[in-house]
Amino acid sequence: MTIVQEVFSLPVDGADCFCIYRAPADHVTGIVLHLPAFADEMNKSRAMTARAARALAACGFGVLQIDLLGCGDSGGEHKDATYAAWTDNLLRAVDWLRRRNGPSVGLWLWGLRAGALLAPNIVARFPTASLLLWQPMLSGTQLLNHLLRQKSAADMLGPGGDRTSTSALRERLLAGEALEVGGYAISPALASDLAEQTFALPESFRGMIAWFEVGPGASGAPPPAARGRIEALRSAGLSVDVRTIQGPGFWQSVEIERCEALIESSVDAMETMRTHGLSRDTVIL
Amino acid sequence: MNTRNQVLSVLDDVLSLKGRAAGFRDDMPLLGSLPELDSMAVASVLASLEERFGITIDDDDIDGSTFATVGSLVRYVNGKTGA
Repeated sequence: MTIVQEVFSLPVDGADCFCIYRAPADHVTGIVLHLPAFADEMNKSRAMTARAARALAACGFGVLQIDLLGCGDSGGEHKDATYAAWTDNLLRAVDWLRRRNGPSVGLWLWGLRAGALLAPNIVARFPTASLLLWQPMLSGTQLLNHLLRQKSAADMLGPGGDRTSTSALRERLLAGEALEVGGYAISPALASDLAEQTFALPESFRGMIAWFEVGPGASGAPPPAARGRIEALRSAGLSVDVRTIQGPGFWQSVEIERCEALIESSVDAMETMRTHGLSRDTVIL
Repeated sequence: MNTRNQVLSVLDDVLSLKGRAAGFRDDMPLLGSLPELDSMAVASVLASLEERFGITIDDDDIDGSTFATVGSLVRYVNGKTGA
């Protein structure tokens, strides 16, 4: 199938967001918006997400990847970023996809790592959207701890070897000081947004979920925290296709890694759901 | 898989060592000796250990000595899992 690729700037409040759209040249059977990982994890996973976007386009999906305000090649400053601004960026991206392909084409949100934390804000507006989750982070606190650890480890590796504890760093943020972690400015406003953000889907949500966990020793069962959340979603009557893939943690590995099995299995899960729809309905009937 | 092998598997994955970690001895120095172990990698190793072993790591417990060698990191994880 011929794939068309379009690079453009999407105007948002105060800046332009860098976007790449990949789609089959003929008929689009579903639209996908990527919800990117955070900071370094986003950079490390670029090669993988680009490959996956091409693979999804090759099986009929129109896939949009956007660099959020202050991130990647988009305008604005990272220090000015908030979850409200990023949610607005993503809603505008959904509008673009729907204008391009019509409002009746099924919408997928494809969240990687911290990107999954943005999904609840979007499904609040589009409750029938379906979710493709790659190693989702389940709370913003988890992400904030990770960033503070990285900052603390950088001090430990520095010339003096003096380490600032993560609790001291957290207090500095709370006191209104911006911190720089791996070249990204984390403002007190963003930190407080993160602390409140969890992967909690609104009750109105009616979509399908394909949930992937990846690891070098992936045994078939997702890790305990994910397992708990998946059980809760299933008890709420939602259909969750859970798959564990053996492969490298490409979002965090030192070298740029790829995990083809994750792409293949994601395409398979999404094609199955597109064709057969919600298995939940079958269960209820 | 025992703790030591699981710790080596986490290091191998995060640091992209392509199987080299399997040959690491307990006295193999980590911090300051493995160029791959930068600040993001330290944070990712901690997160992967938490996930793999279902433990919670208190950051105030962690300092350079935890990451001094393979042996010191395995001892730390064993202390958390009670093994």
